[in-house]
Amino acid sequence: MDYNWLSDCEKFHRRDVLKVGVLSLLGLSLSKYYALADATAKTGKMDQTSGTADSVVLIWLAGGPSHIDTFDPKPDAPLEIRGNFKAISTNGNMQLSEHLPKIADQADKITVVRSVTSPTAAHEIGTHYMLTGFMPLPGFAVPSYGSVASSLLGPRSALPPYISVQQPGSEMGPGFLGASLGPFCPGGDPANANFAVRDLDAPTYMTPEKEQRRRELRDVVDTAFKNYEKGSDSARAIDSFYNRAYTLLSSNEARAAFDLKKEKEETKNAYGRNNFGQSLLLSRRLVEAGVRFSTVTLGGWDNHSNIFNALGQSHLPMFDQAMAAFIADLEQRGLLKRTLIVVMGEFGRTPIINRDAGRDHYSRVFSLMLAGGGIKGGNVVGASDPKGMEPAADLVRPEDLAATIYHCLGIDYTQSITSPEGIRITLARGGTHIRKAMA
Amino acid sequence: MRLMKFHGSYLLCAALAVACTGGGAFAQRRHVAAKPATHGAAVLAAKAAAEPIPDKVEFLRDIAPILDRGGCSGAQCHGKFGGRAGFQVSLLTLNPEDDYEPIVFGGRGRRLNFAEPEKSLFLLKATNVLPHAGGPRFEVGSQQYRTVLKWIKQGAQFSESDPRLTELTIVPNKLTLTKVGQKVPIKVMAKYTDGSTRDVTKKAAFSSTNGVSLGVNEDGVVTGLRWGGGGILARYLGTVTATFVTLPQERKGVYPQLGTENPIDKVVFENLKRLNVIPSKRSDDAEFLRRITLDTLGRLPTIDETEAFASDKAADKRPKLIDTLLDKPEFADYRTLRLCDLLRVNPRKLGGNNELAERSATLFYEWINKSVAANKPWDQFVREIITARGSTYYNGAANFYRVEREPNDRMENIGQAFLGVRMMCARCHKHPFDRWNTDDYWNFASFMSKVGIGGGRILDEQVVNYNKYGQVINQSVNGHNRGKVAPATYLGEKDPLPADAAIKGDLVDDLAKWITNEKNPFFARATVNRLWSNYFGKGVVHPVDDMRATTPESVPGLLDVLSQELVSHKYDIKYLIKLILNSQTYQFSGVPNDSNVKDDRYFSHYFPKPMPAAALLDIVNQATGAAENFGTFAERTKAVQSALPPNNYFLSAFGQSHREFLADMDPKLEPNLVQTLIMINSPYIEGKIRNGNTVKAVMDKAQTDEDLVRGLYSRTFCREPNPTELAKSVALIQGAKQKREGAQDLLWALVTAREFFFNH
Repeated sequence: MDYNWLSDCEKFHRRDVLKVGVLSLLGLSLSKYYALADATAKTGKMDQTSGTADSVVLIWLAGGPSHIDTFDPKPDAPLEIRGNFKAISTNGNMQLSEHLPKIADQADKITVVRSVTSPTAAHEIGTHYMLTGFMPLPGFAVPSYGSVASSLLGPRSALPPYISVQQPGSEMGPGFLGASLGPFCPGGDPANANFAVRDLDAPTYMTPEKEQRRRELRDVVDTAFKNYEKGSDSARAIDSFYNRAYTLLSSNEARAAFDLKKEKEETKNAYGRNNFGQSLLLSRRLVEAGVRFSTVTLGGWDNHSNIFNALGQSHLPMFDQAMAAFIADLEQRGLLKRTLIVVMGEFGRTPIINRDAGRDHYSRVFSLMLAGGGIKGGNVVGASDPKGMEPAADLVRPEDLAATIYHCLGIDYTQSITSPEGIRITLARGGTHIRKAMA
Repeated sequence: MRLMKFHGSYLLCAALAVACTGGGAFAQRRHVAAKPATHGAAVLAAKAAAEPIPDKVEFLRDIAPILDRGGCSGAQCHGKFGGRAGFQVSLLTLNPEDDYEPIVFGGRGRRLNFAEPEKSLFLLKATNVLPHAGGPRFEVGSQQYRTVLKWIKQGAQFSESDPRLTELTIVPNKLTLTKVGQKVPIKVMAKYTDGSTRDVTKKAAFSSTNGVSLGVNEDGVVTGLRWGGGGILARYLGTVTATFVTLPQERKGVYPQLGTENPIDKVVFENLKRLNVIPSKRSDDAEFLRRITLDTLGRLPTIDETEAFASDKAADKRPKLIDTLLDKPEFADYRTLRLCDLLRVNPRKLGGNNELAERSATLFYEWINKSVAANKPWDQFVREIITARGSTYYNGAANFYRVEREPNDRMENIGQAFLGVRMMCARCHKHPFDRWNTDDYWNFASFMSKVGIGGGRILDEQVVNYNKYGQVINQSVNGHNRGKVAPATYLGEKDPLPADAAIKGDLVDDLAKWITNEKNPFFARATVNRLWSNYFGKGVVHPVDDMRATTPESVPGLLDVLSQELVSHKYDIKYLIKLILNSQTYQFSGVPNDSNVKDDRYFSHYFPKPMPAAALLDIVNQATGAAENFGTFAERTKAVQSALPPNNYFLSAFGQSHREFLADMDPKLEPNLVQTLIMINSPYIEGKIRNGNTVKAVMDKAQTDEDLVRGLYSRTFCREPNPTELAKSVALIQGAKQKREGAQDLLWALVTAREFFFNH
């Protein structure tokens, strides 16, 4: 093969601004544009407390993190419940696990919700419920939060509006909204020194002249197809993707968002030189560059055995470091207020430690963490009972979480969206945003 | 979207409940009605005007609709599985008969107070006199209140002899609107066993199957929005019915005479005429050749084929071409690919470790491929699958039973693949939009419990046998047969087979015969609908695996015509495909005219469609002259010929079916940004353009730059460039420093263009 790739896109001649219509700059097909116009009419700030987020970063703790060992410690409970970890005080109005000392220092910026409850303690269903606000529906694919937000709010920049840093599961997918609203997955490990997005960098052989010629040739050969296009939504959709791809390829800023080489070593170190830490760093760059919704997935929480070794020795410290660095970094750059951070898994874990020194699935009550985007700092919402077994106040259901995410983005969560088959769902069916979490 | 692998647990059923709150075109009004219980609910704005309260209040006709309309039976509230606050009724009052007991006897009878009916908990809660988590559902003294009160005073009776709904109809049962904006009220009439009829319009919920053309409000007033046709559905408690509405396009000029002998064209044209939509003109030869070669062989016509077809002056060259194409082995290979998606021939589904699972998948593939090559009649093909017995190593078809293991999963698989019926909803509760209830589901699943499968003598060999003692338990959530052994019953039939049928005979054989019998109401229609969708990109009923009793055909009568042809030609698939391909309808141009540009379902022009990922990759390789090997397959095996889905970034990005879940039977060919990046900016495609032999071959042959452009056009778009394209392309190519580079750039432009990507 006679081509090479330059890893640094700054070396390229900056391309001319594309002559594309407003619609294609937005990267929208016409049908999506109308859907958007329609939705915008319905959207609007809900009330005075409506959030201030332009973007969301959803940190998905796959497997179901133990609430007692993270955000809801029970130092006064019997040993078989409180486990090995101590509770520490924070600069917010809460205690956290001793293995989250750095988040403890950022606790004045977070809300911990300790009364989340869901009826299902099965991974697949719980994941679907938490990531869409809906239980799985047979034969019917519910869109995830990111796809809905992209559909209703549109992109903020040349970047795709919805990015999933790790390979997304179907629960993070576009559902019936269709592929164009699915997450873009850059692929690869951001912690890898050579991390780059596949097929995004301009190739070495590309010169401005060649680029120009190819685009003109493509215009020539594509003209005849405009006769067909009128009768085909998907033909028009492809055209929108083509424009969106070009917008992305020709925007150095947009592409540079993926370039972690632009970060200082000390920043990288602050986040932690691992997949999770660098994924959060990448997310910060994406938020900065105008990505609407991004997800970062961290597994390793399904601790049926040996939970204290697994969490205490490496997993929590890594999580703690990256999360705290992420919050601090966003704050320092003035992005925190405009970025909602959601940290959660599909459920919590059993309060009583099992005979393998582990904890099993538990969904009657568990915790999640919110920050930024109009969320109050140093704040605890709800509580579990002293044994961490039952919710004791301010029940929060997945529907309420859905409502909160949409609310922070300024989306009216009582509106309905309709699938191509005509099935209509209300965004946060029956949920209300968590008022006590709002600043 | 693929999701949902359900493994029988009850957790799912809670899932199902959501379908009906959030989901459902019908749910629209309910949303307003059933505001979340926990956050306080407004009093229902009852749309029912005051109706006289009957002398004798009946449970089914008078009380049950109150539960439905009041939102009491919504999935948020007491319709939720497990109910609310200890009180559970059937979801959306889909099974009103089941709701009597919980109201009258449930909670140890505390809900009704016969001594002081006004103090019945049922009324006190519904009116929020006693704090009700769901808020007030109706007010003291309201119509609903007085109806319930009278019913309790009369002893809260429900007898077997109470009149039951026998038929729900919409009046009129066919409706033609004349202009956009026109509003026509429809009525929903219920007939009962005592011969009486009631107007239940005000108690029914409405929806439209074609929201672009037809709107309907909660009072049953239909509004014409744009020309077109579709169904207006009405649900009253557990019963759904439909009426077909047409709104023709405004008349402009004279409608042309469309003559035809082809039975398909007759019904399609009739419908277009009714809608006053003028079809596109006939496709030209180049357009037709590219389209049909892609559709039948999954590749582009070669240069020789293109030239031969262009120079053939015979009047019957199209039918002749169709015969030739369908006789090629490539046709069998390409159709096998589709069938492998349909039957989900996936090593991961077929169990065992990788290598052994691949062996099973390959055996299944080979069986399918041989059957297709021999043009095995479709009924026989399906019978052989369902009745497959013996070793999965000797009988490839037997691997079908490794794809799904649970009787009900197998039944869903058969329902969706061969009958076009989605049964899933009815696993737990009555299907809210179709006729199936939980008994239909579990009793039909019962047949599949007679299929035994167990280990054979060789590693990973499985042996399928008849297990006359197999049974399945009705696992519905609150159907009254829950927990009982489900008696084998053919889908849609009332009476189960005799209890000893499984012992005396062979129920699986019987099932196969029933399915493939020409009188089967589903089989032939589902078959032709799917075939049609293979060639038009859209079913006559769409989606093809969800043909509800109430979903109208986009072209009325078309499925009847197609299925009659199929049955009268003994399920000869090739015959039917030929009939379709020879129709004028298939041969319409993809270029719409003013009259039909908005048509996306009546087949008045050819709808450009994306190709299956494997075919797309093959034509990229064909057009660029690149060689590509897939995994362990023999060199020069094309992607469409691989028995198992190759592990390839391009294929997965372009929507190759994972063959994992039921929803994967038909690959979802939706464009996305990653695909575009691959096409226009990947080393993968660039490598093919540079290293493939097309550019060199064309350059070697070309005398002039015009020849060069023509050569590249014919290898990609399979047509001559028009004069503008030719002139502009030549000029741009000449701008390159080297001709080779210019030629590569043009090839790049052609391969990444939409005209290449779509079959049009």
